[in-house]
Amino acid sequence: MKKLLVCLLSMAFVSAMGGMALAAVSGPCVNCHTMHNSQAGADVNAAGPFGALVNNTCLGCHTTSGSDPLSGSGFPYVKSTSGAFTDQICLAGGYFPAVDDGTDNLGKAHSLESTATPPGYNSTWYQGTANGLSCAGVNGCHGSQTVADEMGAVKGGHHSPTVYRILWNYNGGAPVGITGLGASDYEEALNLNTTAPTGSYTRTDATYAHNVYIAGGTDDTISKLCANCHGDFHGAGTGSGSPWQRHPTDVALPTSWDPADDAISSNADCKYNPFGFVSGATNTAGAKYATCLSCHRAHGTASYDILRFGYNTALGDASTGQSAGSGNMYGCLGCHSKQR
Amino acid sequence: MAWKHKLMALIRSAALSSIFLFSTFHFLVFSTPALAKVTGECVNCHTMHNSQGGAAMPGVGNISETGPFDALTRGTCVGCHSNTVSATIKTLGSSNIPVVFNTVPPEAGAELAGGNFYWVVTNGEEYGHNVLTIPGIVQDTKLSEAPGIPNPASGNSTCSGCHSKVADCTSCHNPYHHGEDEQPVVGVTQVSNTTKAVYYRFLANGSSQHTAGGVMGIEDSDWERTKSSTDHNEYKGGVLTSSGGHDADSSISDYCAGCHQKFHDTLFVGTSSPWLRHPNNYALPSDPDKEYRLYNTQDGSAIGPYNPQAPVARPVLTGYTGPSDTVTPGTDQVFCLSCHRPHGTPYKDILRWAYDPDDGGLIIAGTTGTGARTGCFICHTSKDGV
Repeated sequence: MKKLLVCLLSMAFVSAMGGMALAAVSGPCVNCHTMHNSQAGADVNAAGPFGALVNNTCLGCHTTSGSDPLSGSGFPYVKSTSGAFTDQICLAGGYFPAVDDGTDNLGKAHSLESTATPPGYNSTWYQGTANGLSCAGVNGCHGSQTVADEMGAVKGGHHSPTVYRILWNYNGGAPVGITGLGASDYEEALNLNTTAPTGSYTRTDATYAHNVYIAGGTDDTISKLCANCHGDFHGAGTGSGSPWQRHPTDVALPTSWDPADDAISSNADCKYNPFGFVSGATNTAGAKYATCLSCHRAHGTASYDILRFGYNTALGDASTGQSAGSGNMYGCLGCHSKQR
Repeated sequence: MAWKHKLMALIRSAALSSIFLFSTFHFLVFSTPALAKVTGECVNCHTMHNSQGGAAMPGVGNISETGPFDALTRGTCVGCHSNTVSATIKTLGSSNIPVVFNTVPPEAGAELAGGNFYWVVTNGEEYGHNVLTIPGIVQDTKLSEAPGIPNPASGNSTCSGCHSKVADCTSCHNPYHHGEDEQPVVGVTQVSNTTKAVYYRFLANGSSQHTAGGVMGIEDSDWERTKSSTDHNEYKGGVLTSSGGHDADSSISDYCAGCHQKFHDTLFVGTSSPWLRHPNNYALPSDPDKEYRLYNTQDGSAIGPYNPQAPVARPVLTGYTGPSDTVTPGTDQVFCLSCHRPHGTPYKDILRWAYDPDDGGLIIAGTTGTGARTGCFICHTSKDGV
């Protein structure tokens, strides 16, 4: 607990809405760093020392025992040991379960420490099959996938952020930073205050801060990041056009679909089926894209397969699935208007 | 007796020459009034990445298939619409799926309107359309092309200019399961196929020149698993096709004629009695001196109700809100499906009843036995012995 409290005020990845510059961490160095991993004759962290002289692991710092996913000073949490996090009380990336679910690829979160081969993996860089899935580097998602040490992989990301959420596309060993516009509160208010609409509703622009994900044919899209591990689910593995063989990503919604034909991203859209855009600066009619995060969150959710919404009632993770003909307008049906 | 011989010859000629009349019906839709357009949980039929738990997503078919499949489905047409048990409707989650291929005998009395490819696999190529994507079905050995398809060089062909035989389900169906439809008559909006309008049982591929149109009809909610005079599909009739082509009248028979044009076109069928081939899209004569006015008679003196064993088509479906038990000679028509089913039946030539002696034929002129008032005799009411 004490160790957790030590690192409460740092590493924000904060990038504000509307194209503001990515925010660098601020605050006393001691909050996050220890020069020698030694204090009063004892280790600051018995598991240390850690790279970049930090005083805890990624997950060690970004775990709370409380129920607020964003500390008052803007520190984001991805896990609560008290189990307080839910789909309403979490940040945009979702949350890891309070206790490891112990299931590789079958659960509701990315399975940290799992040595399973990621589903759809078609590359050569990933070392997690030997070392276990972790947050960053050659075993994880954040930072450069060319660097073994987690802190080395995310080096500079907290103090001199240049890319969205310290995320990089491996890109054959020549990493490309992911582009995006991050909500200053990591969508805490959006998630807390937005519930799935029942039936149809009139879509109006979102009133809560929300991320803007970049999509399209460039190497800096959020889906390209996911494709580092799940390559078969992106690009050629999905087919080249309708009828697709796997759900496409980085592909624009057909303009004949209702949500593609306006310039609106509602609160429900942003929470349950966020669109991607070629340019984060505008929400352009006819240029909304499907991304991996249109359906999934990165860390974990209450639904299987880390989905943003209940999908399969038979699994018992949600009382409401996604059903053609239901008239609902979120989740799958947030985009697939003809199936409503 | 001459008239009887002539009529029987006509019936036999038409039936034997109509081996492959149409095709696959009843696709994935659900047992609600809005049938043509699919409802139900997405997961019942789709998989986003063909991946679950680190392995390929389990299919929903009862035949061995390897994904991923087009449109992110959990099986091919055949996979989804097949069953290894006798049930002719199978359930996936909240969705009911009509079965077109049972690997065991379909549940007796519960066969669907389109028939079943089981009979083709089990009995042989004469018992259904040779859809080559169905395990066990091979290329027809007797037919190199669809019977009744004109020679492209004749100048009388339409589809036969490019197509000659069935290949897979999409030879007949354009399965826009989520397309826009109308109720109660499906396929009223005849628009470009590119807009993915839904037609009766997704029958649209073979419509005139592929550019527009498809089949209209009213779809029974359980695909006629249960059937009666008031519980059945309603088929769209049309006009007796003029020489040398289609009429694009949205009729089921015009659709069949895409491959079997010689069995539909007046150039080959004739324009009136005596017919050269059995007519279709032709109203049952109402003449008081003709037998057809007593369609499906139960007592030999009064017309009977609609009989799903030998259905009639309605030339105009406007005003129909559901199945009707009334048949009106002079208006309602004999059509391809009056005698045949599209997928497969226990009878040669995909007939709805035992006609060929090899099948234990019951259609025997003058009979007072089991075949009386069945099959051909439902229309040809004076040809049996009762």
